[in-house]
Amino acid sequence: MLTPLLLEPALVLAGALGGPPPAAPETLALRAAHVHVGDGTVLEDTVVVLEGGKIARVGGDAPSGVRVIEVDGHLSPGLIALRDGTGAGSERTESTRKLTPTVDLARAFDPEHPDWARLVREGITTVVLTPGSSRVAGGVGAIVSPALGEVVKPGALVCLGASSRSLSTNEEPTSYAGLYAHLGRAFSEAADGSPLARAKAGSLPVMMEVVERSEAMLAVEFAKEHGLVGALVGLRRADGAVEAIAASGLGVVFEPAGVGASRTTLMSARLLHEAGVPIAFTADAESRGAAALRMAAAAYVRAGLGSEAALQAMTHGAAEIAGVSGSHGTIAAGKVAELVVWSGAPTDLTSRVLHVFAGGEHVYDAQAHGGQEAR
Amino acid sequence: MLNTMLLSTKITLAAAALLPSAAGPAQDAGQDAAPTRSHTVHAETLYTSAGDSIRNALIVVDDGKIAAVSPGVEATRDAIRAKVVTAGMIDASARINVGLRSVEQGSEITPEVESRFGIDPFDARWARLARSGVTTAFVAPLNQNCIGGFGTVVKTAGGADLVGRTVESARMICGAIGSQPSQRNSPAFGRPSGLYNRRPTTRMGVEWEWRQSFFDAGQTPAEDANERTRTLQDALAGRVGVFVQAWATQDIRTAVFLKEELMREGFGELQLVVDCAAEAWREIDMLKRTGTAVVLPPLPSQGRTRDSALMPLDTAHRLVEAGVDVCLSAHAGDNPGARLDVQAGFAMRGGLDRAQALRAVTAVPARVLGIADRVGTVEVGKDADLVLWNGEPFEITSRPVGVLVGGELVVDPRD
Repeated sequence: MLTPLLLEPALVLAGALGGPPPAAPETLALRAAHVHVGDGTVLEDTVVVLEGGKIARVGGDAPSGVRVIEVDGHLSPGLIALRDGTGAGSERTESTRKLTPTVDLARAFDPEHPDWARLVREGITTVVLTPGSSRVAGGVGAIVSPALGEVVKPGALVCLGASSRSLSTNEEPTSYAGLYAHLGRAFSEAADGSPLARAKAGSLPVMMEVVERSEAMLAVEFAKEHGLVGALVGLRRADGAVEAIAASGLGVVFEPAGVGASRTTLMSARLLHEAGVPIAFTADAESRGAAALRMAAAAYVRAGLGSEAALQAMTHGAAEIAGVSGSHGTIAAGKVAELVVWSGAPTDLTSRVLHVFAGGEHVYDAQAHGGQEAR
Repeated sequence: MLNTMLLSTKITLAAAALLPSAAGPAQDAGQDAAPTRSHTVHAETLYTSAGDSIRNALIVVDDGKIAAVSPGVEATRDAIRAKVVTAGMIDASARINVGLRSVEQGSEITPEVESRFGIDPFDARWARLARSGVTTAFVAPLNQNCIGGFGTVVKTAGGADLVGRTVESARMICGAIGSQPSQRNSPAFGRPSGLYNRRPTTRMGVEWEWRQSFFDAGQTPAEDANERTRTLQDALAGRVGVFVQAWATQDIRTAVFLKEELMREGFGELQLVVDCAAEAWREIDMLKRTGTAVVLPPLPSQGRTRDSALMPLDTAHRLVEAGVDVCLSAHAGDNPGARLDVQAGFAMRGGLDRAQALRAVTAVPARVLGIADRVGTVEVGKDADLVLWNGEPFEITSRPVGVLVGGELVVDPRD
């Protein structure tokens, strides 16, 4: 186990002081006034026991002889950011060809990059590292832990670009027809066991970037034809297309929305959520800053998405889309111990992150970090 | 409700007004309350595009189709009344594509590409087109390739489901002869820097690409043909039509000469339609001789169209009198003159009578596009695509006040 990678001296943790890294994280319990499970439910005054890097139990009394941290606020799962390129820069986009579906984004992961600390300070404990938007099939996304500096799951998702961002007038394909001709060929020629073949069998989720509704309709059609599961990423509006998207079983991942986001975009998240479509958000922290994820959630809440639904989008919903809901995304026994302690409700923008646990380790403590301005 | 959100306010209101009656238990489970596709329409005068006009016609629309047309009948209580009813108009060159991304420029010749990938069902122009009385549109890929690909016939209303809106038609590959396919291109100096360096730079080069591709396709044994070659072979065999944009005289000639040359050399006979045929009036005999149908572009304000082609007011009249199949088009333009009903009015000003002008925006394009079994006339069994007018069609004081597309009342005259 690596030492916590939050690098500033002020961040060094009590548990890790003055000795070699422990073989396994300490067993401890958190007793929180409000536990946001991540699936939309909230438990009051509940004990969560962490053991061996996992959540051992939710509810009941704290075991004796175990350190108990009293949380006079809110506890949530660590946030999950779908699509990010922190630390990778241009290294995440293999631009020799439009289709490089077997390229492995785990190789672009720089575990030592100092910017990861910013994400952790915003409560983000899991990130899906993806290729840039200009590719048609830019590679397989890797799920990484910014706090632990570890690749959680390489080859986790097939990343496809089916928006105007993947088209240019100077390189084939220049059209949607050409794009889907290339994609169709790549899928039909995919070797057994390759990422595209596994995506076709439904055993590997895809993230298909689309911006316009017309692009979403084509993507939905393609996904249906090839039996793909996963999500559409970057959709700006869904009105009029909700039925088709819901029928496809695909989720929708929205890009960070600021104060200037259009009402139709903000409303779309609610429409999709109400139709039972899993929704999530990208982080894009490398360009928008680490706080953008939660800012986006707040903007959607303001447009009528319930605050628990918004939190669900950043936790369980995102884990479902990324295919890791068995291990991530909720506060439940058996899940990895990735938790955030908040001063208030997680989707309230005035709430601050007080503590972050990743892999059962206490990787961030705002008090220890106190006095230093957020970068 | 959701699928009405993309329409304009007025249309949304019309659809919303229908919801209570449509939301009965008979509706399919899990669907949003779909608007009803059954109506009764009464016309003081019905122009069927299939014969004489009918006074006091009662048109019964059942589940999107015309179920009965009864002459000399008074309006029933529930009938939607109109002074004049015609078939929904068909724009044979509607151009509602997503622009450059509708055409695959990885090659100059991409006949196998389907234009539907470049059509946005949410495009705001659809609602505008429907409001103007156009119920069916032929959409080609943007004319930046010599041969761009298959066009698609689409109804102008019906929401997100483009496949459901598509009308099965004659298969036609669309392309251009003239300056458009070459206009972005330049020779490479040194190392080519992009795909525009290897493409033709003149209309001669464009024609060469056409000729070369058909020559190659004609020489290729069927078992060696890929999708592209197979499509061209289908065109040579007449199974697939060829819809060529050619504005100026020399380009119209080139298209026809190419067809005649391929015939002479035993390659086959192209089923040619010349789109944007502004100067077709200069080559009437040639078009007649080869049975070539034309689609006229919107009448220009100064006489000159693209490629400096001159299109006088009586162009449609001269061609129709000579027996050439003429379709009018409005290119889905956004200025008031670029509406199909206004274009039909211009054609009347140039000499067509009303029945001829109406046929040039209904029955003739239906036949040319191979969709006459579904649309183009008001007859029992056809799609209930109807335009309700407040006066004689194409008069300057007349306009569509009601529109049905596949039985769905997308513009309600009672609003």
